[in-house]
Amino acid sequence: MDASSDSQRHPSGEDAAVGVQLQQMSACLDGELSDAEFSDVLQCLDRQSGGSMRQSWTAYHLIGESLRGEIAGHRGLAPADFLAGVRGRLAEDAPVEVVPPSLPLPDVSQPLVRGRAANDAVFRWKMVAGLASVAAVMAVTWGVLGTGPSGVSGPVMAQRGGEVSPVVAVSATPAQESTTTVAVETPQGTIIRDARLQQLLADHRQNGMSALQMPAGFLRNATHDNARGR
Amino acid sequence: MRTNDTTAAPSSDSDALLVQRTLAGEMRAYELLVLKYQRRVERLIGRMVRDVDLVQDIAQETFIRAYRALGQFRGDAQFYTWLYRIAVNTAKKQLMELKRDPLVFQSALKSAEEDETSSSERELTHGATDGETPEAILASKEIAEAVNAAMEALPEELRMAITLREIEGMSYEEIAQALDCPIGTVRSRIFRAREAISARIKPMLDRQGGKRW
Repeated sequence: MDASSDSQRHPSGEDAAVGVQLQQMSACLDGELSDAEFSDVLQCLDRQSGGSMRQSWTAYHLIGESLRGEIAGHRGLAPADFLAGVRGRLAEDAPVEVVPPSLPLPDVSQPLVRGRAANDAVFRWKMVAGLASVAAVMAVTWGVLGTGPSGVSGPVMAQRGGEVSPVVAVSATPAQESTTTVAVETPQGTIIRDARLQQLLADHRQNGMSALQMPAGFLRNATHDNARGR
Repeated sequence: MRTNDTTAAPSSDSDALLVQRTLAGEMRAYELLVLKYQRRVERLIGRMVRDVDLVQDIAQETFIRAYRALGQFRGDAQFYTWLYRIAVNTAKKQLMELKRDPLVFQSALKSAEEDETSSSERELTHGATDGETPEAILASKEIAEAVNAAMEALPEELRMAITLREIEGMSYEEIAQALDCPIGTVRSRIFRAREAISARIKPMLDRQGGKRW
């Protein structure tokens, strides 16, 4: 075969195109093909000339193996028959989900799909515990800020600034919705207190020094300025 | 013509491209990988299994398993190194499952263990085997002779180009520098050399179609 007459072997346009793609396939074997050219090669494999292209691909590799002394004692099917066998077996399998490359060499006996994790139940219990904690906090908060014992409602009172002013005047507070709150006139202004708290404070003032006379962070005063106090 | 134990010209770039295209859904790219490595895988398994039918079955199963696991192939190793491990594991698994012939099974398994530790590197780099049938030896000899004859008939520039590529493992750029010609010319010369040699060996491949060598 005269290699220099190679150009005469593909006289028609289609043959010329096949020749170009065979040259691209030759370059692909050497890793010297661009991505775009490789797409052309793959498309050509589906055409009528695809069989001869696959045969050329096999022959090109065989040439290299022969030159390197690698083909001693080959045993096996013809390439086309072998490929047909692989195609058939792949066609029998269910569609395969391709896994992105991320792992070391695979143990092909293991399934690709992740099974149930051992700590799945622990995670569920953690979720339940978290929700229970949130519910408990909400319940305590509601109990502190909302309805108290005996159905008494009203703002939580606290002492402001540590100053326990003597009660200047005690009067019912019409602005409050509960009859158990009192409005107390102090130098700081009108203070609305729970009646029980007011009684408690009064009792302790009578008894002398008391921790309640000291600043207590949990005691809060709610004040308002009414028209009389301004 | 030189037929020494020179390490095969690296084709990792083309393998990487074929793997990438397969993962993108191009089954034709995977078929090219199958055609490329069919013989090497068959030779490898043939050292572990004597039954020719079983060799083919395991070889095909190897490529099936490789396809399924292709997404887990890391590009830091050569594709054939990865495929080699799959082939060995598949052969061992099949032998354990079948156990058709206790004598064959025991000798094959033992053969696999010995060969894997002592000559695995030789198989990976040179693909050399032992224990071939006379027919297989004759067939490979015929092909080698045909290739050598075709090489001798090539014009000097084509023979030089394909020798530097296939035996020396040089890239197109390196060959272009060595031969003082454009890279496009190198590509063309290598292709024309391959086509000329293929014209001699393709009839031999056609005659062997459907037959065992």
